[in-house]
Amino acid sequence: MLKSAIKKRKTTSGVEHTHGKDENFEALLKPVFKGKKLTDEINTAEDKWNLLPAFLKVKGLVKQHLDSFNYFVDDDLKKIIQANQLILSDVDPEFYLKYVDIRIGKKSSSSARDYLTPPHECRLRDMTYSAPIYVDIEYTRGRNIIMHKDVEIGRMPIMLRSNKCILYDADEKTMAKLNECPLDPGGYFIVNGTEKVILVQEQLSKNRIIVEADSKKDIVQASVTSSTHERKSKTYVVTKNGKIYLKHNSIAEEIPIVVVLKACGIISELEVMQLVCGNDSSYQDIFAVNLEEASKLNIYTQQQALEYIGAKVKTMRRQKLSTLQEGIEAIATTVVAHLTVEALDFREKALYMAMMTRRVVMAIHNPKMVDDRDYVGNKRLELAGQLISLLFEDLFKKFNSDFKASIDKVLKKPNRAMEYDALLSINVHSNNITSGLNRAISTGNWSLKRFKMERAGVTHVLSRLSYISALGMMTRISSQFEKSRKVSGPRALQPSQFGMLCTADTPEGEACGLVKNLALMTHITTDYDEEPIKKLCYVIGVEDITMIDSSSLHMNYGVYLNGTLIGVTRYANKFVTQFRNLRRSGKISEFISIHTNTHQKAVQIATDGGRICRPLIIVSEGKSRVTAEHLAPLMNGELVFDDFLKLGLVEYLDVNEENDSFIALYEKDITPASTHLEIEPFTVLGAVAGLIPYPHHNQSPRNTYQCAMGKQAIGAIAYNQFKRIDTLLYLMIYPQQPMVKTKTIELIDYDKLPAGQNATVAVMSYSGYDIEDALVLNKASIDRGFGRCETRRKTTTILKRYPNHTQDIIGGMRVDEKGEPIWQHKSLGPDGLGEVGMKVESGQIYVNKSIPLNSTEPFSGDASSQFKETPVIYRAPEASHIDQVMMSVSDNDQALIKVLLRQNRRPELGDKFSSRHGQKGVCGIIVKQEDLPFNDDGISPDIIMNPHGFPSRMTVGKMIELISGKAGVLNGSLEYGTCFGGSKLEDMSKILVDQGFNYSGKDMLYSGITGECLQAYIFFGPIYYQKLKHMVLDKMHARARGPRAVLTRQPTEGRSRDGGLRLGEMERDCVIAYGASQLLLERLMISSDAFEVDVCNSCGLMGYSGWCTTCKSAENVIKMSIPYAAKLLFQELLSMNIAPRLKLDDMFQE
Amino acid sequence: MSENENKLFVAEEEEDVVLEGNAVQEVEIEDIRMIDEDDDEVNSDVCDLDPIVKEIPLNFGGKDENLHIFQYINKLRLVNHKPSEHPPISAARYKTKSALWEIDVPLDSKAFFNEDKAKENWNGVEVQTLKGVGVDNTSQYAAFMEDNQAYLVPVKTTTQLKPFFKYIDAVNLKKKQEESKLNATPASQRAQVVTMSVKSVNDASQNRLTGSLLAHKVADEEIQTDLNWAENTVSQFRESVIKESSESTVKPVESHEEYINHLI
Repeated sequence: MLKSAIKKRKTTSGVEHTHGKDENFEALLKPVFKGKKLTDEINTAEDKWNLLPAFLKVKGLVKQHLDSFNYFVDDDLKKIIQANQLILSDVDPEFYLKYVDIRIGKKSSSSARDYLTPPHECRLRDMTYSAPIYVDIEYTRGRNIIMHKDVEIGRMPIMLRSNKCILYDADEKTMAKLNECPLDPGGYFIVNGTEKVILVQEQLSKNRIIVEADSKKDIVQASVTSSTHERKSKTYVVTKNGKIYLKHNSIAEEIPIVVVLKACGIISELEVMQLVCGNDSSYQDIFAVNLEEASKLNIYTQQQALEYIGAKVKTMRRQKLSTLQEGIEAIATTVVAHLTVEALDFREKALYMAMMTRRVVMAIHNPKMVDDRDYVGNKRLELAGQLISLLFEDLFKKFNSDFKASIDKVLKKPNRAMEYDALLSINVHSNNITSGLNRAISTGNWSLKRFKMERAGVTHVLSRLSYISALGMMTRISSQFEKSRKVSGPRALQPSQFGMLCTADTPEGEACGLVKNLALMTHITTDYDEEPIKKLCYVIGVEDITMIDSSSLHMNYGVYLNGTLIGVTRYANKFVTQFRNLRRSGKISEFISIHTNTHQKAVQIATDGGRICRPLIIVSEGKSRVTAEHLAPLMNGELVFDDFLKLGLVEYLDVNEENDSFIALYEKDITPASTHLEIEPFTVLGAVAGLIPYPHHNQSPRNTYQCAMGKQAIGAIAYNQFKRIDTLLYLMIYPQQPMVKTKTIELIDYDKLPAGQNATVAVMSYSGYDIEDALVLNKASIDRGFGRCETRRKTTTILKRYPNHTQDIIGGMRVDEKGEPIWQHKSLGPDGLGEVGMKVESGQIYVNKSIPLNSTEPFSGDASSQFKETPVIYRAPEASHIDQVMMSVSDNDQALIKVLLRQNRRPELGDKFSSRHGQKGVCGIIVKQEDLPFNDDGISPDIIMNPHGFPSRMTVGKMIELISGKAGVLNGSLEYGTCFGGSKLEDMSKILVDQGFNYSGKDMLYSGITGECLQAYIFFGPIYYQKLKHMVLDKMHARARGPRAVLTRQPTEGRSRDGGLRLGEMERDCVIAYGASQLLLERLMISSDAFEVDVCNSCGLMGYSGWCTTCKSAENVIKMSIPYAAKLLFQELLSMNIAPRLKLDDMFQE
Repeated sequence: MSENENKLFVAEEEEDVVLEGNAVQEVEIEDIRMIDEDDDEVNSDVCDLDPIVKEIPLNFGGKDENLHIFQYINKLRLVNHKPSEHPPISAARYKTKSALWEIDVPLDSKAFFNEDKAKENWNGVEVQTLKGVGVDNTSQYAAFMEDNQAYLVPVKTTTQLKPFFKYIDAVNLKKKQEESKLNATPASQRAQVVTMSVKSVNDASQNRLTGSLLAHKVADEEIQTDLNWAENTVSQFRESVIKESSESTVKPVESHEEYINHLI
């Protein structure tokens, strides 16, 4: 089998390699890699990690987004079309229009895909990267039925690198040709020129029963959130005073559960008892009281029960229904809406309600039988594809109803001259779909009419601060919980997160624990059809639920498919084993999970989308199925990851199934009971936390801090970084790959787009400018380019066209009498735009734009006098250089000018740096190299770090990084600090000793000032340092005088508005305590919003210009200064009919 | 008429099944199938759980039979430690389109039966009506043994029969009508001007009932077929099946592999 797989692979490999996306991944699979040759013995315990690069090669880091989008465009769209297939006219019964097929970006006639504007051009020209949506329709025109293919109904934004994208499977050359970075993972959209990510949303799983208990209020409730394409609703089965009721939003009262079951056709109380309690007498005791409830209401028959429920339904209907009908409708469709009954038989629904009740009874009997909301197995992730699918269906429905309305409008006219062709009016509404999709993605407001859902903040601008920040954004998962609520449960680290969600990467502060990140080796499932699985279950021995009678229901294991009972099986283990064998042999999708829940006597099968799962090596009979004979062809490239799945060596497990397994962490831990083996333990971390060397030696919060800071590090962004025109871009001039790498770094190509430099660090005290984590920087290092970075800032100018045919224009430069351009226009070229390479200083102009004074009334000639200059002026403390000027035309035919300004920055006092261990610090002093200590080789440090940073932070990983780095430098090798592995400290110390250094990494240093050797040995070696985006130049701010807010006349707030520096409440308290009243007066009034008012001493109200309007006299009017804000307050109080009166007294009595 | 007869056969056959307990019967069928279809490998896996006791030759028959299984949900399996008997049936009704069965079982008035109350409250009710919806079944077979051979007959539908207290609903309806007559307010009795308008096509489309409501409406409007209940036809049924299956032999048309692929 293995050989045939390899052979097959060989024959197809020619094809594989042509679109092999990354040579980098290939490199990892090359025969000689990291000093390991083909002839070397293969050690399964060590080399099984090669499955990880193989996994990432097929899955990539953002595969979840791409998979979900691909599923949406390939499968889900077709389903939506099918569900909304027909448009019928209310006027003409003969008329129909039917959607037959739908495609994105490809006409049925041509074999090739449509040409799309390349993504980079879309970015530059502020366009949307989208492809046309084509439908094939069939409709009637008069008596004829007409088929029409490739009708465009709108444009769909395309996810980059999805299978509809032109970058799909593109090799490095093609990517370069299209100005794309080959390392860019894709998975985002470009809408109006900005890159937008639809963040993964975490939700409680749909259509599953969740049982919760509140021990204080003595409430147990089972709830299920039903979700179908049509509706969403939530059904509860709750206890109240020891009795069980059904609760639903559209039913006015709680309905006794026995009444509900009777309404579902379970009329006999014996049957009710059997369905809910089975033979368990303790359950029967708990439940018995509910039977009384129904008989108290005199409800004995199904009809009575239905009428009882029907009378309590509170839905608004256009159509009048009898109470019986209301009852049928409520039971059939409203309650547990995902099991909509179409026929007469309510049995399925009855069983579902009975199961919910049973779960409640079980939880009453044993309070431990409740579910955990925070358990990852009870969560589902909603991805871009699903969200767009919801939105598209809504828009498509709207489109159809508009279309129908316009068809009806025409068909209503009794005598039309011509046969009506419906196709003519289809294009009228196509803009709705396009703009609806664009608007939702660009604003992030997802409003779905059919679910009455309004969700804001679904999309975010892709952060391009660094490669890692972009990558981190793609793996981010945001939760629906409110951030402001102080709950600990959803924020806590769940044991079930292991290997699925990164344990370190979460923000600090309010979103802590609510925003998560995917671990390195995960997959998120897409929806899979239930029907074939259901059939399969029956084939392998599950007894159909329609055949089971109530008395034998609970004697066996129930088989649940996506939460719904479909049958029972006597031999649960045998069934589960058979099912798994079928999955391992590839007969059914590898992402369908099955597990046994012994507490509930249930076998749960899940085929739904949004489950997180991860691959594990299968262990059978105490042996790992992956052996050396499999790994060798993998490393030769003869096998790929999917072959391992097909061969039944590796399988995907979701969280629930993981809990049903016995997973060995290492090969040595395998026992006869083991079912699976981890591929590689460091995959518990995600891509961002994977950058940290030796994270297993660090205190856990430090790793979390680094995850936040790694995203702020300045580095290389992408191979196309110099071609990009982004709003703000930070680039490092000389980025280096770290001396101490991790396997993750190589896998995610951080070594190709690094963000930091290897600094030689001396851990010692120097001067006094290193307290509180401040760093001492070597001036010579800075001169050599250490920490040097570049900022690139974009300004966009649009030349508008106006209705009266005037438009904005660009003026030329103005010259003085000598013919030289005036100072403001120095950087302008003859075309009135800044010239590339010119320096722009504060106050100078780089786009000399003018707008017409008259843009509404008809144009009246005499063009020159009617323009007003509105130049784009550069204002910043430091000068910039013009890097790029781009002129183009955007979607709506208006000229678009983008100017990119560049600043080159060397580190200065106050700039922020950090190592990869959550140890941040600002530059405290820059010291000349000659004053810095040096070692025997004459090496002086780039950075001096104060040793006080270590004891409380306990970042031992940083120390080991230094030793490994130093060993690597001396040895000429890159060392590894991979989590739970990496280069061993003993080996590193050995290298140090062999090279004549101390094993501990300490060196003898000499003072640069006195030349004496220092009294202690200094911990000295390279550590990878990141420069963070927080730089003094962007933050420094002072103001003597400046703009004031209009309303309060107080100084404005914030640096961007040239605001004042606030003397806040606490500072005020200090000044009061100190007794400096005059300082207080000056700060709070005189320098802020002093205002002279005329106060009338007789009435106490304010007048003006020496006149009291209330007393109609000038007699007692006194001028005085009060804060304008106080005057405003008095006036606002007056407007509320409250008269604040001032009583004036002499301050100093004579 | 012939169809009716067929159905009646079925009901008769069902009697046996019910007497043995339907759940048990079900599993037996499964097990037999297992032996037939699964290869030895699978069987050896599960041997310890579910050992093979005996191998039985299989016969298929009853192609033209309409086998409907009735499950009497409320019938006790044992009465006084003896298997309870099949209830006597006084009448059977069927709605073909909705697959709705109604069966009348005379009430046992010998014990625990309050005749006065029945007369007083429920118009002298004499029968209990059982009602059930037939659910299509494609994968189940009913079987019987004859000369150490098993004979399988495909099941068409299964129906769970449940009590349906028609007489209570009838009494309720009557009561309600009387009440509304009694409580008839002057307002409702006053003559009203009724304005008629032509129903627009629009409304008709909106008032269309869908889903379960439609199914109920169809069922309500459908006319019942009265069927005769025939007993003691089992032996005849068996004979016909045995005869039919003796005429042809069952041969596998697919290999095991193909069969499994076909299933999935």
